Parts: sequence; structure tokens; C-alpha cells
Amino acid sequence: MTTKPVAQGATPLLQVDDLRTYFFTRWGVVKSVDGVSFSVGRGEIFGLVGESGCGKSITCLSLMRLVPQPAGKIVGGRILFEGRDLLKLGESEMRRYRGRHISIILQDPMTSLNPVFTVGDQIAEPVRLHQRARGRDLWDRAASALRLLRIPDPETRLGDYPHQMSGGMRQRVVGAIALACEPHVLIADEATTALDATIQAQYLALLQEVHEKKGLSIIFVTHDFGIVAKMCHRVAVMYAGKIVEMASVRELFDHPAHPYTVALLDAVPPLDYRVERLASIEGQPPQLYKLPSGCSFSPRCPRSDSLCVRESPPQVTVDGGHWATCWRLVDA
Amino acid sequence: MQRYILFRLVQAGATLLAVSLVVFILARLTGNPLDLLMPIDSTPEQYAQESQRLGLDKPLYVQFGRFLVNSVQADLGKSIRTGRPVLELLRQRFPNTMKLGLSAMALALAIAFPLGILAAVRRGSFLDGAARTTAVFGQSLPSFWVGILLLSVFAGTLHLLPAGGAGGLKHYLLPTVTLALTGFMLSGVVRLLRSSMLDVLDSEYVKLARAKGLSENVVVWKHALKNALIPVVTFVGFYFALLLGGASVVVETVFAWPGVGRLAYEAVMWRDYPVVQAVVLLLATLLVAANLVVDILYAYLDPRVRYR
Ligand SMILES: Nc1ncnc2c1ncn2[C@@H]1O[C@H](COP(=O)(O)OP(=O)(O)OP(=O)(O)O)[C@@H](O)[C@H]1O
Ligand code: SF4
Ligand SMILES: [Mg+2]
Repeated sequence: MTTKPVAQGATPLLQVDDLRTYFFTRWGVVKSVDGVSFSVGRGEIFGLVGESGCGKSITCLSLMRLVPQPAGKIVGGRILFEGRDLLKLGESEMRRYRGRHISIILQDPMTSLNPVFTVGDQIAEPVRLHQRARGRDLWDRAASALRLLRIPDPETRLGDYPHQMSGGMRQRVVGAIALACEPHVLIADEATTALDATIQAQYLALLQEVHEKKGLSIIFVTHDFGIVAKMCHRVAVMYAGKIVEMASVRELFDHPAHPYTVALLDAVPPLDYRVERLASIEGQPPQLYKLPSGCSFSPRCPRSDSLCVRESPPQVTVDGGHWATCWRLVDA
Repeated sequence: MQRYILFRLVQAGATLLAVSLVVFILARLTGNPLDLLMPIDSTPEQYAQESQRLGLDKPLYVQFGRFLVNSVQADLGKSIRTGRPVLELLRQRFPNTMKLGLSAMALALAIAFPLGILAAVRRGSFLDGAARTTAVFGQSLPSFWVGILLLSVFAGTLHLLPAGGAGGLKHYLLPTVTLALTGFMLSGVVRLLRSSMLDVLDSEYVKLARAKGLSENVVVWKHALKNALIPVVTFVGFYFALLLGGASVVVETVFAWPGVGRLAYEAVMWRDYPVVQAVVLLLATLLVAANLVVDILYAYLDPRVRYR
């Protein structure tokens, strides 16, 4: 593990307070994000892990205010970006943040580029919009975005259509789009999950490089604790729409406090922390529209007792920035 | 690509050949035109003479062979009823059909495009419901009935518009509206565009387009529409040819519009074989041509096809 110094400034770049995003569906209210709070410092890589369906993507989309319509709605909380609450902005003001201050890389490189426009068009689009670049200058900037992601021969590649590129290349293009306007925060929502191992390692190295070069903050969503160990400074573990544990990476690996985190880490093969999916823990995650009473993890928790089933656990500080929501913390 | 074009041309030729054969046989199944044309008191000799003059006494395969050979040389024969060259009839009538068809298509698309797109963008809204109702309604109304209704109101009761025939702009109004509102063009495009737009709006690349900070208008009209149009183009090309063929026969007959549809109607009534065959062949050629045009448009819209 490399040492990863982070400048912990006085105010975090991004601070999320008690964020709630619900889906109003035929079957009931799905509380995909239910009281999530975290902050991301300047130049920090913040990890978000958890099983499929726990609300990671919806958290990310909420930060950009792009929750799937019409069912989804951000019903509460604050998202402070450099002290301004994004949830209070008008739609057109919010658009000035998207792609310029906050960018996103989506999971599937095969579907996240528009098939009928050239790669160059798609990279140039946010640059033209936010930086008002035109003509030669615009094209140069698009090319240098491709260069940043180490795409060979960028000037020619600008004229390509997505289907002419491999998956790995396309994901670099998506990265180039996200980074073209030099944003402060990059959200990488399982940006490497769909790539094969070698390409994935290259991509991570690239992100690391850009992070160091530009002092970029990254919110890194993944299933993979190996990647967390390699990339992140701090991690939040999410379960059923809530963050259940938050700690620095070191602290989390050395002293996991929440039974769910312990189960996740136990499910990871030792030595090599890399796994495809965190699917190997007992039982199914709960349906988000009919959560169990008390602690959401109680039906699957080996430490669960009658109190856990009855009442929601409190947030308990373990040590400094390390906390977990649990009645019966695992003491390391 | 060249092989593909060659293949398509051969395919088109085969289609037209098959159509010729079918229409040739079907026309003859309706009976002998001389039964209708000859004076009631003609002698069997006169009958045989006329039959010989028209070549109707030859075996069917000889007649068909001659028809094919002549057609390839752009000689479509003469009308049995009027004796005028069929080619001349078509040249005179076809522009009228085309003008009516084009104006009906333009009207149908002018209504269908915004309706289909807005229905998708505001899914579940009043407008969405209205669009879908309109689509089902239009498609289930028979065009002859709508035509007659419009005629009796605007030409009959109100005396606002001419009752039939071709002429100025006023003559276009009723047949155009009838053709545009009924049939599958309008309703099909509304439904197809709505559903393909809904798919596209749900896609990851639209999500990414929004994440760039683009306005909803740019997302819908640039990123989504061009993709959503791809399936619609096939439909429009195909139904335009059908609109010219099927619907025009009915509408042209109701409005006494001097196009090929009405020509076909009259020709069938009189068992005027050469004219029937020519009109059907013309419409079949159009259908085949429409498919070719669709393929070219496809390549323009979808780079994945262009580079194959
Ligand atoms: N459009 C929607 N309508 C209703 N519910 C939705 C919708 N989108 C997401 N959800 C719900 O929100 C929950 C969280 O989804 P989300 O995509 O954030 O999960 P995730 O943690 O990113 O999972 P994965 O690892 O599979 O990407 C899901 O359980 C799902 O039921
Ligand atoms: S609160 Fe109880 S059930 Fe929930 S994780 Fe802690 S011990 Fe397990
Ligand atoms: Mg996800």
C-alpha cells in the first residue's frame, strides 16, 4: 500500500448532510438513499462500497441532481459544494456545475457514449458549453483531454465513432469527457467494473496520475476492496441506503467495527483483496421498500439480539474519524 | 458495400418479377374484359377477332412473356378500354398521386413528430394520453368514411371546399387531411417515436449527456432524437409507399382525384389488364425504391451501418 497524504483543509470541498433520495413506486416508497452524510476533502479519494442495490449509484446521481425521473426525488438533506447548497440552486444554475465542477464516469463503457456522434463531438461538447471554446482551440482542448487519458494519436481519434473503439478505449473517452473541463470532483461509479483485469489496472493508474497532477477529488464507488486499498484515503460502507461505517482505509482494514464490514472483509480472499462481486455473504440484502424494523442488517447479522430488531442503532464513534452505526460493535 | 448493393438490386428485380406474375394472374381471374367491352350484339366472329387483336387468344405463358419483354423495354401496352398508351396514362396520373401522397405525409409527420417526442418527454402526462388516444383513433377510422364525412360537411353543408377533382390548393385540403389522419402513418409514427424515444431517454448516454451540463432541450433534440429516429425511418419509408398504394386508391376514388389510385380502380372495374398490371408494378417499384432510400438514410443516421 502506498502512502497517500491528503491535505485536510478547514472546509471540505464537498459536504453531504442527511441526504435522502426516495423513489415513489407502485410498490411503495423505496428509500434508496436514507440519511447519508459524508464529506470529501480537496484532493481526497473517498471510497463508497457496498453490495449491489444498496444505493451507491443513486447517491452519486443525487450529487449531480440527476436522479431517475419521474419516480425518483431528493426529499431532504444538503449537498454543500464549496459551501453552497446545490439542492437550493435553480435547474439552470445546477447545469453550470455539472461537467464543470462535478463530473461522473458511468459503469458501462459500451453504453455510455452516444453511438451517432463522433468521440470528438462528445468531448468538445462540455468544453464549448462551459469554457466557451470554439474552433481550433476547442478541438485542441478535446485532443488534450484524450492525451490526458493516454489515448494514442488523439487528433485522429477525435473523428472516430464509439463503435470503432474497444471497451477500454471507450472508457478512457468517458474519462476524457469527465475531465475535459478540469472539474474539482470526479465521481467514478464502478468505472472499472466492466473492464478486464489488465485494462482495469491501467485505468486505475491513469486516474491516480490525473488525481496527483490536478489535485482532483474523487468519489470512488466500487465492489472491490482491493481497489479501495489501492486507491482510497477514506471509505464509507453502505448498507440498505445508509452509511453504516466510515473510516480511513487503514483503520477500516485493521479495525473494522461494524458486523457488516467484518462480513464483507471476511468474504474477500486473503492476501489478494480483489474480488469480482461481494456476493459471498449469507442472506439477501433487504428490499428497500420494506425494511425490517430496528437495524436493517439484523436479519443477516450474526451478533443481532432483541434490541437490534427493536430499535435503530445509534452512530458510535470508534476513534477520531472512525464511526459505525451499531448496537454491538465488533471490537478489534 | 458494392456486393451488398448488387445483392439488393438482384433482390429488387426478383421481387418485381414475382409481383408481375401475381398481378398478371389475379387480373385474369377477374374475367374477360371483352365481356364488358364488346357491344351486347357482337357476333362470335367479331369477338374472336378482337380477342386476337389484343393477344388474349394466346396461351397465358406467351402473354406473360410478351408482357415481360415489352415492360423491360418500357412499353406497357395500350389500354384495352380507351386504346391510349398506358405509359402516357401513368405519366399523366402519377404526379397527382405523388403530390397528394407527399402533402399527406408532410402533414402526418408534422403532427406525429412533435406529438411522439413530447409524449415521451412528458410520459404519463395529459399530452401523452392524448397522443396515444389520437394514434389509436386515427388508425381505426376507415379512410373512406372520414373522406365522405369531411366531404359532406365541408363541401356539402358548408360549401367551403370543392367536392372533388384536382386543381388549386383548396382541392388538396380534404384528401390530404383524410390521408394523413387515417391509416398507419400518423399513428404508427407517434407510437414508434414515443417508444423509441422512451428507450433512448433511459439510456446511459443520455444520462451522461445530462451530466455534462447540457440543457434538457439539447439532450432531447440532439442526443436522444437522432437515435430515436433510426427505427422510425424504416417505418416512414415503408408506409409512404403503402400510403401511395393502398390508401390512395380509396381516397382518390372518394375525392375523384385523378391519380393512379383512381386509375387502378377504374381499370379493375373494366378488367383493363395492361393498366392494372402497370399501376401495380409501378407501386411495387415504389415500395422497393422506398426500401432502398431507407437504407441510405439509415447509413446517414447510424454510423454503425455506414462503416460496415
Ligand atoms: N428508477 C428506479 N425506480 C425505483 N427504484 C429504483 C430506481 N433506480 C434505483 N432504484 C432502487 O434504488 C436502489 C439503489 O440502487 P443503486 O443503483 O443506487 O444501487 P447500487 O448500490 O449502485 O447497486 P449496483 O452495485 O448494482 O450498481 C435499488 O435497490 C433499487 O431498488
Ligand atoms: S445493530 Fe445489531 S443487528 Fe445491526 S449490525 Fe449491529 S449487532 Fe448487527
Ligand atoms: Mg450502481
